[in-house]
Amino acid sequence: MGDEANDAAAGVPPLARMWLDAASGVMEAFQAWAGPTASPEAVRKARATLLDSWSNLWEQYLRTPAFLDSAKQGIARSIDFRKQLREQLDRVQREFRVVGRQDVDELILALERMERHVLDQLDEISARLDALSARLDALGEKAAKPQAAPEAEPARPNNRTRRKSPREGTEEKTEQPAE
Amino acid sequence: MDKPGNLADLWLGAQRALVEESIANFNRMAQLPSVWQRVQQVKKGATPSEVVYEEDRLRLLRYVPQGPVKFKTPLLFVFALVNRPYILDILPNKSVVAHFVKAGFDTYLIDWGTPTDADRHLTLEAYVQGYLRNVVKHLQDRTGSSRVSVLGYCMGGTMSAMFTALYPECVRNLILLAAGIDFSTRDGLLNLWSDPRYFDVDAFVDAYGNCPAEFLQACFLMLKPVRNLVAKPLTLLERADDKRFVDEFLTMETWLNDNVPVAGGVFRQFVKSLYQQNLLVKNQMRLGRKTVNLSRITCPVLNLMATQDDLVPPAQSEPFNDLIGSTDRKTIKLATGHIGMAVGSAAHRELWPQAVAWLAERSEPAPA
Repeated sequence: MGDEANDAAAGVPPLARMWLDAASGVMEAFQAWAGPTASPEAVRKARATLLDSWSNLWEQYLRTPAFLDSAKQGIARSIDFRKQLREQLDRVQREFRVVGRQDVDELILALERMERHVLDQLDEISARLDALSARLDALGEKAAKPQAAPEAEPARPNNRTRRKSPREGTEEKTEQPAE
Repeated sequence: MDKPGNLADLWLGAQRALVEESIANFNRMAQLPSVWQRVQQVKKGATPSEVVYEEDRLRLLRYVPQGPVKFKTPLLFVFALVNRPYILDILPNKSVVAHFVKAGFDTYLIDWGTPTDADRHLTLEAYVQGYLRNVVKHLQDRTGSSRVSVLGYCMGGTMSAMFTALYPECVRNLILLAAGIDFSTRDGLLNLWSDPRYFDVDAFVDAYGNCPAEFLQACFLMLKPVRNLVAKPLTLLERADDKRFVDEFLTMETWLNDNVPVAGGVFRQFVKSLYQQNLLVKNQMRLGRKTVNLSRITCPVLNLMATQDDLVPPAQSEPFNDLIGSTDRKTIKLATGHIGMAVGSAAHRELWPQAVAWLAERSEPAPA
């Protein structure tokens, strides 16, 4: 944010500022090998220094609100263009009674709604089945107990057991499908 | 002040350097016409593999073992949806996959394929709870192992973490490679650019359907514009007469430019729920009818990250180990970039042997 304040004070836009800084970087980098003794290796080093400083400047610029705003406007323009193109295409498709993208999108949305509905129903059925299964297991265990321990008191008839409501059965479920 | 003799020597030296550099430049230029020819010959994948499962556009590759399989627990590579997965097996000397295959792991890799306009409604649920779940089921049936080890790279790592949290009973070990988990950081440019004040993802996806590959490519190029658009071509020009360098350079560039579009539903969800709302670390990420709770991950976890990663900064991956329920968890950081983790010499020398040893200690041995 400090840089932005400086830019605003100097009245220099961020992109122009970046180019000015890059130009001074060029001067500094090439001072290192100026003269007749310059070897290709020295030139490469100077170039690497220059590219590094240029890269840093770019990265700073790509973080500025000026760049972010211009990118936003660019994307918004491309979206508008795309929308207009699609509207024209839709008009042509309607004229020729051809299935368009919008029709497919609406069909998929309808299918998704139906899928959600079916899955909700399946969840409900699954919960009830789990509850039933748990009750059957409990009954099975009770029935098996007298055989395993014949000396124990005989089990009471099932019709004397209190009936559980479906709500109670659901609460017995051990595995939660979602958190 | 220099003596006249020294000045003459300097002048001669400079002339000699100029002539030598001119000859070298001529040789480099002479090699350039063959570059296009070599681009056509770039191979995509080094280790022999076969397709063992297909679903819609997805293909599951199994790498042909190079000896007896030593571990019953299969290893599944889950790659991102934005690029092709062959970066993990790009060259014989730079193949992550080969490290595990050679160590005796039964190794598989998911190639998600290229979504078409018809796939624009696919969401993360379809990928994580659909395709990925089905692939793991297939591996369970195929190998007889009730659990698999998962290695997820980049966006594939994020998806692998979600999968492990939803189905902890299916995952024996989890390795994350440069995976974005905590998107609150503003270190990375992508985090900044996807800010809702500057990027309306709904309008974008509504207009485009899928996120176009060209858009992603432009974003990745702009992360380091000077390196990608200036330094790299200059380096190629300078080393055009170095056949090995050119071959490796072209292989990498082929992969870097081989972007695929991302299904619109996934792109919308990824940007909104992760980059903009950071729901995963808050345990509020909804996938279909379930909420992803990272604390449900209790298997051993190896979290690998690159300190110079400009795509997924380490700050995005690092918090993961503190959010999970695992007690066996380890982090390894390497001083390289995002792609360097897969293809860098240091990664193949230092990182992958460690990762292989870590996984071997935690995998079920194959029956004798």
